[in-house]
Amino acid sequence: MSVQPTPGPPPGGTPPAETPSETPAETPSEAPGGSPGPAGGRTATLRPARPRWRETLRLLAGNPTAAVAAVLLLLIVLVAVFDEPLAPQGANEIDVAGRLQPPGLEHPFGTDDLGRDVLSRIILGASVSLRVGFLAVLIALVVGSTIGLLAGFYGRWVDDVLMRVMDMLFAFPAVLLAIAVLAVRGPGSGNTALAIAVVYVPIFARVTRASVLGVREEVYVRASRSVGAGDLRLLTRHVLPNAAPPIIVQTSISLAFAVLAEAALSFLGLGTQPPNPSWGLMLAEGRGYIELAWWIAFFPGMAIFLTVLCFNLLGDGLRDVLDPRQRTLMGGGGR
Amino acid sequence: MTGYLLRRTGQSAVVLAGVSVIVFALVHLVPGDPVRLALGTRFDQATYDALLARSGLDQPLVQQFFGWAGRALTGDLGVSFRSGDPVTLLILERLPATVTLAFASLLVALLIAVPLGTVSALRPRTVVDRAATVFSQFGISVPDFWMGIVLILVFAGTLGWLPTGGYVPLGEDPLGWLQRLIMPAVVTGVVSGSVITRFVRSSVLEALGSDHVRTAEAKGLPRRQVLTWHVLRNALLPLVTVTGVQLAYLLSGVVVVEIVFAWPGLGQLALQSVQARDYPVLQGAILLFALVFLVINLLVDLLYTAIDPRIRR
Amino acid sequence: MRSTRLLALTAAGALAVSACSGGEGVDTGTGGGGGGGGENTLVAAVAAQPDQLDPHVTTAYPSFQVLENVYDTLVVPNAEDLTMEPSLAESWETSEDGLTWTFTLREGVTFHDGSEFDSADVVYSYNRIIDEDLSNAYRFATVESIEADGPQTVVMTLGQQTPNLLERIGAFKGMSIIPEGAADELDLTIEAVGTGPFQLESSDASSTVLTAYPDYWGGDVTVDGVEFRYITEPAAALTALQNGEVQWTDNVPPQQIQALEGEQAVELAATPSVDYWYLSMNYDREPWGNRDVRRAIATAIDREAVAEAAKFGAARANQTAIPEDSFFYYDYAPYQADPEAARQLLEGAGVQTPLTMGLMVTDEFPETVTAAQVIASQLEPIGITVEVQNEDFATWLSRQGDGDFDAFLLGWLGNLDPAAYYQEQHITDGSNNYQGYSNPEVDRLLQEGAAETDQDARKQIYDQAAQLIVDDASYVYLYNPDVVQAWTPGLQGYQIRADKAINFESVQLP
Repeated sequence: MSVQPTPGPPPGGTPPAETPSETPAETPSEAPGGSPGPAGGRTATLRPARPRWRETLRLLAGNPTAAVAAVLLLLIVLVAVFDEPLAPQGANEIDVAGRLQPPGLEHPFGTDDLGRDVLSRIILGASVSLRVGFLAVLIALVVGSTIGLLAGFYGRWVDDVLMRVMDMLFAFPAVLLAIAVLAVRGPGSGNTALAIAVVYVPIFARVTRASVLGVREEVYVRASRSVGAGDLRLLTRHVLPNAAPPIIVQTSISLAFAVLAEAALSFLGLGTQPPNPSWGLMLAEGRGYIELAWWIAFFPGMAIFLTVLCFNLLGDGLRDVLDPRQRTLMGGGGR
Repeated sequence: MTGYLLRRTGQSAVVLAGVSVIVFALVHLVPGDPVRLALGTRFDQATYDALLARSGLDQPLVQQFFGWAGRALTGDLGVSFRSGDPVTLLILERLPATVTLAFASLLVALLIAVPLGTVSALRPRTVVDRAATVFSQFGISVPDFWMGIVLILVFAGTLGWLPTGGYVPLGEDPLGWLQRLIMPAVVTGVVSGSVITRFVRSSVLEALGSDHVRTAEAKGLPRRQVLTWHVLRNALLPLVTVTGVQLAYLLSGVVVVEIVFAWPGLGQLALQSVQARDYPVLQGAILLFALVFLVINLLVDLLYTAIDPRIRR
Repeated sequence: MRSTRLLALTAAGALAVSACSGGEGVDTGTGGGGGGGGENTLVAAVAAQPDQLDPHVTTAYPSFQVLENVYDTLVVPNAEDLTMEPSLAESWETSEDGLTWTFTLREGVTFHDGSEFDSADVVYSYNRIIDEDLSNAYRFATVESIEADGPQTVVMTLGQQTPNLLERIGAFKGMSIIPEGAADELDLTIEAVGTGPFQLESSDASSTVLTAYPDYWGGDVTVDGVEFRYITEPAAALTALQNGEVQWTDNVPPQQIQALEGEQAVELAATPSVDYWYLSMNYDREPWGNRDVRRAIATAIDREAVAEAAKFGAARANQTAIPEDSFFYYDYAPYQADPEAARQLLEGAGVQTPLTMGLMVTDEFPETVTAAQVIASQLEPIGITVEVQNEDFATWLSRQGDGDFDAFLLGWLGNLDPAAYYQEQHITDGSNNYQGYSNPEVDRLLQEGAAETDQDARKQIYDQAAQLIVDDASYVYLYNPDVVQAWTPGLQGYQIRADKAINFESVQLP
């Protein structure tokens, strides 16, 4: 069976990335720009040169929601980095006699079924949850973007082969793919990150490819090519920087879903393993005590919710600033 | 059109074939021996060898793959290691629960998303718009299993209005069916609905700004007519896509929610078969999910093409 | 809609019965009498779905919960003290030399398909287990032949004395009698034809339904049927019981036991079980092969705290395997939880601390995960860092089989005879001796005990063996859990059992 190569540069301005032949493997929840909206015909205008970081920050600061989210996130990250001194107790200070104590002065978030301080475990769990999330997205970003860059830039059979493989990964149900990877590799934090990354690689590949297709035929790229710039130089100096904004937005949104996915996998008993404190695992452990001691499951749930919310709000803010055409695929793949 | 259809179908077939290879390889890479698991802890070597031979696991892997793939083409997905039932039967048994939950969730999602998304787009920066934003941010950020647990605590525990979980067929006990469906459908519906809400909002916004809507407005057509005939119709198209994709996602088993609500769907089956190293069931389930995903995407794609001829090339 | 369907089913059932019983009067009245809906059906919440229904093949407890009510064995443990009493065999005799056992079978017993039960069914069932090398084949290790001597008599010839033969063939429904030829004629994984009080009606992903068998040999079954509904979450099962959705459950969250004791809406029952949980260390991996190191660990562990954390008091700490209520219980507790003494033992063993111990546990049995965390906190002060390795059960079993572990936590469930408690776990090269323990004195005692027919002498032998096993810390025994079950107030005729067999034949709904 011969597979129709993806069409070359568009004659009239609609980048191929935005044509429906791409829809078969869209994410379970894609942003509107990812498919041909009625506005499909007016996209390929000259992009502004890469937005400056300072400009981005200034614009972001003008968006109060995103600014608050960014500050909160910074706090969460600081907590995760300086965890040990901040935690009133160790993560595994077991005190069977003092178990299931409700929130109070001594234990602001109460104690769990083994008498461990819930607040301390949430503080110490922040680094576990965030580390897995960051690592997962980093792997997905590097691998996925490279694939997307190559596919988008070289087109033809390179594009075809790479993107069909991505389609295959994409056709797997996300949670089951992660579960299968974890079953192969065994549970644990590192493998959890890998499992989540596998799910997100195709998403980054697509976003990057779409973005690269958008800039490939821009005037400055063609100009550089015509003066004999090499592929590598073209890719790193011109294509990647200009294709970056949607990738950055995707990163922020993916972080939200990676934290959520880590929680879900740990909740199923496949991710971070006891006695390590991870929010999802704490939630799973607290689930059996929900009527007796609601605080064990409630506070980790709040921690997950707030962190994910902040990443999402920041992602939205970044999208408004960097990617007004909303080409980013929204998350959802992890759920 | 026919050429396009053939090409797209072909692509999907290639992807499906690739998926089947990946599934098989992945499943057989999983450590842990299904035969040992089936036998428990007290058995002798002869028992082990006998069961190994009975389940066909003593054959070379390549031979196992082609045997499996060949039979799968004829619709025979093999027999479960765990229960000895045909995999297709096990899947069929779970299908009603999964389909029920998927469509119920989608219904909840659309009931929330379409009005909320539309109104918030028509009245940007109002209270409704803010509410829609808050709702959709909540929905995509909340861990679904946590929401499920809290709902169970409140509605089944404290209030005692609904059962904690489980499933009964509609034909057996319509009221019980509905009672058990509500909570899981709301949880997944809110998550899907929040995604669709954002989608509807931006599609309507986009449609509002499009040339022909502006033309229609310029011609002085009544606003209601413009809205129904031009804006909503244009926004419907992307909605079909996102709805289809959401459906594919819901059909492929919302594993975590199924676990929380003891909903005997395909996601639960798949998770159980991972734990039991029940290779044939896991392979069958994932292959089916991939097939559903590809078919729905294909249909959405073709529907799109049929509605909007600009797309055909 | 609903009643029509029910009627149709009853009619079909009646046809089947009449066809088999050769035109005998079929009392459709009884069958149809239950037509008032699920009024007289017990709904039981169990934790999991049966993996399959072939009693000779499955090893899963959820399957046996159902099969207990469908099949019978020749002999069965008494509900009170678990001694063996007649079931399908009415009586039995042992020859002088103890090598020939003659069982006289009960008359007038029919299978659910209407066919008569006789000796050919017993011979067929047992030979199926032996010939197909099914998982219980080891229970016939000392059996040389099983033969029918007329329709009501079965003769078993043994190669050596086997005082626990009755326990071997009757301890649980894995040794069920199925009709002759059933394995070929039926798909036993989904079909069931037994002689028990209930017959299988249906089994799917959410529940298994049994209906009373009207011709049950044990007399009238008091309910019309039993539905086993799978509710994985203990908290959900409990809520279902409180709401009246189910009338019985064994999936009680241990942490709720205290709160439930005063509650009106739920009747709670607990009894010590025959199970035990233990820690085992790999002799092939240093320093765990060192007796002093193992004894240091046995000394450092506070069993009371482990039991309290894992079971919320619904367990008794024990330093041997056999629980207090058993005839074979041996009161021997040489270890005092004492970190200081443990540290000195470790020092005396000449090993460098800190040590790291990988402790393998599994989510399949969540109490191992909890216990491991407590044990980790108890071993930390004596210089042993425990790395908890939570594997899913398939991987866990493979690692155990391959000897790929430092230490693991697990339990042995449903033991009745002392041989089941100690033999294969501690005899040199025993099939369950994964730790690699070998003590010639223990081997001698275990072999002697397996063939000793005098009960008191037998107990003495096993006491001696247990003492050596505990002193060597072949296993570090932790606790015997309680069986905890709950039901709706007013439920009568159900008895909680130490072996966790669940039998609903004489249960009466309030």
